[in-house]
Amino acid sequence: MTEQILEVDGLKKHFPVNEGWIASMMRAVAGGEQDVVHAVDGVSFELQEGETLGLAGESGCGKTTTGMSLVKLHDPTDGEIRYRGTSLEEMSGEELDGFRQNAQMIFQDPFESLNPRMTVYDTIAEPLRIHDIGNETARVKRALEFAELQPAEQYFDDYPHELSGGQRQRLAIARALVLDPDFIVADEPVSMLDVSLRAGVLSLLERMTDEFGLSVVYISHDLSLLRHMCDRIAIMYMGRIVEIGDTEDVISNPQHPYTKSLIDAVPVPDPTADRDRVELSGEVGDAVEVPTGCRFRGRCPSIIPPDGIEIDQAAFREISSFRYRLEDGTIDPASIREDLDGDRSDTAAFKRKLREKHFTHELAGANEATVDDALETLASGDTEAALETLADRFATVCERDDPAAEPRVEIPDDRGVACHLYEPETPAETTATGEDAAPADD
Amino acid sequence: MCAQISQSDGESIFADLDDEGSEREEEISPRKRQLRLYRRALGEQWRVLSQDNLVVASVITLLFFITMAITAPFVAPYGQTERLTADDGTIAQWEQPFWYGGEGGYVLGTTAEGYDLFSQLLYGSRAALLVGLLAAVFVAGIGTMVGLVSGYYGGRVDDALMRLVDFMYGLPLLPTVILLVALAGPSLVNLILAIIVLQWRTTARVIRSQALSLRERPFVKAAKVAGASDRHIILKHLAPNVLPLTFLYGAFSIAWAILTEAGVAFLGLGDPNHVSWGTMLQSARSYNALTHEAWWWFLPPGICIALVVISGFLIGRGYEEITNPELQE
Repeated sequence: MTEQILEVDGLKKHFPVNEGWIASMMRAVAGGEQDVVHAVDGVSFELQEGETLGLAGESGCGKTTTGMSLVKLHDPTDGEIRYRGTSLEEMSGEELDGFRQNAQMIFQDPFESLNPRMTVYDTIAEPLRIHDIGNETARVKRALEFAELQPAEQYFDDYPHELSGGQRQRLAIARALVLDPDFIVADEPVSMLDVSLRAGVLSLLERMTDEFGLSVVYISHDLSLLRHMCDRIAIMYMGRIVEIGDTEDVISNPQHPYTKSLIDAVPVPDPTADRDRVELSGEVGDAVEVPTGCRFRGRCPSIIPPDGIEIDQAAFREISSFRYRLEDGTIDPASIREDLDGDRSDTAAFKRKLREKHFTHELAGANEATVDDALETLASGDTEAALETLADRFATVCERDDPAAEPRVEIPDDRGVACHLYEPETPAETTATGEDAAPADD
Repeated sequence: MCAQISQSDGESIFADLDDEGSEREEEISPRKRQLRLYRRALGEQWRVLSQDNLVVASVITLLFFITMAITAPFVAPYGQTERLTADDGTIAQWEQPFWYGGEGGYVLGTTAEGYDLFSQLLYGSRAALLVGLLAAVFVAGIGTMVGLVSGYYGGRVDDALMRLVDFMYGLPLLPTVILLVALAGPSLVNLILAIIVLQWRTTARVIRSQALSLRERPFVKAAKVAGASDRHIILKHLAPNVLPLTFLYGAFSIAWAILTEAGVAFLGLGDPNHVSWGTMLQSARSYNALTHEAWWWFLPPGICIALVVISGFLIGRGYEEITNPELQE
């Protein structure tokens, strides 16, 4: 019965890193590739008619870029977005015109999304004029009344600066609705509003979804808001969807380690509540030099040890995080050596210092031997060799294979989870980059 | 209130508007509305401007000179290059003003060539204001258009236009105007053209920087999502937001243009067929009016130039308070 309104297939949006013209000329001569920020890097999902989907994730995970691509404010670097079966990039002028009427966006900051030199009436009438739709006054009035700016006539000649924040966001919503769209992207629609006004605007958004039969993509970092507003939810991390599924399922029973940590971060209004919190350590990875394999591995609390190694989870995490930080240069052996008291060529002291700082857990047997061997090599100044020694024993599937957000055997329902902890339902040939892995289809 | 317009799920709240015969709201006439809004905006700006007495005085001064320019043919007792003769048939040279004991009843005396200085002063306001206003309109207009296009499109367009502006910045103002006028012939039109060619650069630069920041604002994105064309965005979203800045640079270029005209005329490259304040000063210098102590020859045009230029600057400064509200007290 429901029709698929939007289909996103492997969407990628990369932004070139700004470089000076001298650097760009040197690159042209040397023949290197330009650095890009991987804002969105392979996102796939679909949206049914009348469905609300939440995109959640921390700042910089690519949710807004995804939302802007959905309404064709960005052209994708790769991948495809299809609106009712037609690719946005291949649309003819007429089809694009129809798409522009049917797809709208509500922006985060109502103080920025309204032209300060346009009156309320002109702001709302503008889309009508662009698309040459008649009955202007009546439509503007309806839209304003729907957004509870009443009596509408009283607002006609007001400029945005004469309105309060809540009224402005209602105005922005009325502008999005006046063309009678069937698909809306709402980018953090209430995060700039005073808490006391949020409920009102949220209920307006709910009413809008119901009465217009809209498909809405809500973008927010606020999980409780998305839980309230959305049928389905997709959790993003570093330009990827890590988990997607029914809102209730995902929130009450998160499977991906990142989703778990996000949900653990939502405060519970009960001081006596006893919870096992997963707290993330470390920083979000570099969006220019994206890590191989799973993007979350550097912070993952459940990183998978290689087969046949007996090791405590926490200890393994420590070794992995040491490896990754040594690899990307966060740990600099030279500066550690300089910090040494006394003799700088004292290998034992150097090793002790590193152990103090980075290894709090007891290691035993072969694990201990490998670490010791690596530290010894590191002390001799050969970082590459040390890394290799560690990788030989401790390299995990998480850094080799890039998991796709696809259905998993252990997880019931229609859920996509991008994590090696679970067996994929369809034994797809996951490659090093995971680009041609099976999409999270239903 | 909302219940009455809400309908079953999925049904548009606008659905009944397209049916024939349904009750219709009265359409608002766009032109009348626009006119009313313009009047309101102008009224508000005038309210800010008129708080400053200096700005009011400047506007009155400028209006005075504009009236002077329009009514010059009716008020001036003689033509601007009409040689006057005394009763005995000789040319009325070096006559002093009548209130300074001069003969012949000349308000400001006559020149060494026997022209009436008062008439020349009146006609001179025409050249000054023509140059000032025309140059201001075109400098502000061209600068704004180039700036908006350059800033909005960015990339290659921006590079090309801004390198042109860079080139323009390399040209020194007065020598280039003198060269252009010398090549094209000394006429008022050529002078105005030369001033425009050399002055739009500053406006273009400033407007471009504004457009660069405006185009990233979400309201421009919202217009794009609604399907607005580039032209629509430039005209309806960018232009109204840079307009106060355009006015500001327009007001400043009135002053610059008049100064430049006076300077070029003083150097002897003015339009020989039209008297301007600059040519008056030039002939006062070449006939050594200073050593004859004929101050009524060179002081009045000098004061007029100063007044018009100061008025232009003061109005511009008053406008800055509108463009930059932080200056408001």
